[in-house]
Amino acid sequence: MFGKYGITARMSVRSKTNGGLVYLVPEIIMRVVCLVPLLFIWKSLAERGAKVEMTVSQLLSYTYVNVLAADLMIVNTCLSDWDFDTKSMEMFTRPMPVFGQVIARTVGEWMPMLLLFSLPMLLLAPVFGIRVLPESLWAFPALILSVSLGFAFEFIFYCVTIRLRNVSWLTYVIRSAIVSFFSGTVIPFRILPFGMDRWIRYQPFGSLGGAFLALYVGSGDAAEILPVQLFWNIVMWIAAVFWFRRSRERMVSFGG
Amino acid sequence: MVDNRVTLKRYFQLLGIYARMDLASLMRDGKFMALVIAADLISNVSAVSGIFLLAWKFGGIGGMDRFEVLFMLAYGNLVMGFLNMMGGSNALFPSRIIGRGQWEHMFIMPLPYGVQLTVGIFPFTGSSTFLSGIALLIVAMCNLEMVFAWWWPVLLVLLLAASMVIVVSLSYLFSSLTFYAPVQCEEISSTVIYNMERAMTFPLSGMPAYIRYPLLTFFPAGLMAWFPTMILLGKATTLENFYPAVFALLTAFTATHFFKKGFRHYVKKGINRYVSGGHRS
Repeated sequence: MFGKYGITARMSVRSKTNGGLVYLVPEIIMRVVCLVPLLFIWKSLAERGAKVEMTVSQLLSYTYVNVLAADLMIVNTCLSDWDFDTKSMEMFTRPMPVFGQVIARTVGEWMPMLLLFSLPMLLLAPVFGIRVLPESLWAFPALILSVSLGFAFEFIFYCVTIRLRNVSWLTYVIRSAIVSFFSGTVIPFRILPFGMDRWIRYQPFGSLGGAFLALYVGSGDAAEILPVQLFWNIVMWIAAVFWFRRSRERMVSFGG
Repeated sequence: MVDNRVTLKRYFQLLGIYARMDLASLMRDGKFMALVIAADLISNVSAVSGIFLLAWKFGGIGGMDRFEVLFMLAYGNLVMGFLNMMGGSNALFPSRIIGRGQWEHMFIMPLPYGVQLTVGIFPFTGSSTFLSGIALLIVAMCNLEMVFAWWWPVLLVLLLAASMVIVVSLSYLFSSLTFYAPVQCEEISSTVIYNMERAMTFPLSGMPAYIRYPLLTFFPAGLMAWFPTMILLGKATTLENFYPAVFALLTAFTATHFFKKGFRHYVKKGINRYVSGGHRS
């Protein structure tokens, strides 16, 4: 049963690496380049003696793990890609459910970076003095729930694209901007000012990567985070399945 | 042979045509327009809110106070906002044009490449970042404790120009690789620009030299906002004031050299990425 999905994932791995692994190097360099200054922001705040609700060690781990698992923290699938590439049209020509195809394809796309960037960086973490072992094993169910919710959001935003008559770029920009802040993956909710952390964690995007990271570094409470994640998964998946069924026949695609 | 020279009047006419098309796309229905405006507002606020909220909470970051950080974020928004507004039709992302085989489409257009690349503006749908940059800059300036000299706006414009030249040059420099590997490097310019856009929001003041210098040379995200901000706030030495301009010139010359070299390879080898159905392979 899972064979066809495995083959889809394998094809996806090949599509990312068929030009040679050397072409992944720019992306790896960029990830490292963006990681280092953010780590130093936390260090400089600590050196100034700023009162932070998380320890420096937690903040460093939070940022480091977020960059290592960036693809899983905020799920991006071919659905958020432009329809110009006819990827969405192709999905309807294959004897497989669209949801399964998208998930298999995306998981396959994650693999090269997970193996070539995340794994080596994970092993190198102690060299940089960064703790990468999870503080709580509840982080792993939280990761599954956040990835699952990420896929649900992908389908919901895909429906938005269809309804807006293929303004996929606009949808992508809105989605990226909202998610980068409201997911809490870059700036942890716990250290936001004006008491924002009291409410921001309960909005749906708050159950994405930020929820996992909070449990991973031990700055969140599993009894509070997991039920909220579960709730948003149920709500968003029902919305995604229902809305996708209603939207898919409106889909159009064109060459580019 | 067709004379494809473009007068200044014709150039502005072309800009006007694109501006009208952009306005038409925005005004095609009220719901769409409302969504675009709301989306722009949300995305611009979200893009700068993270670092600014940190600066607000901790009274500044790395030796910069709250409004200096806001000034820096505003400056970055002006740089990227203007480029996004003027660089429509993927002019800011030439690797996409090359990688998709669309440079060949440009061969048959009766306009020089430079004109084709620069007239495709989005002044209505693509101006939100630029406008939000202006708004943030005004807020920051009103709250900064400094006196602005008469020549300060001139310096601001010159530094903005230098930052933009650096971004565009790097995009074209890396896009030169696309002439040799069109499929693999199709998105290389977006990889460079989006990551620079992200890294430009980091205040580098409190960081050690071994972090700061690479971000001002090899990967010059620091020249997109932080370093010009230091100059504009009077926190740079006289010699440092010239650095963005010198760096802009050097990157522009390097990009021109390698882009032309790649182009010579491209006109001999070509590219064919389209399948018979009209989609890209």
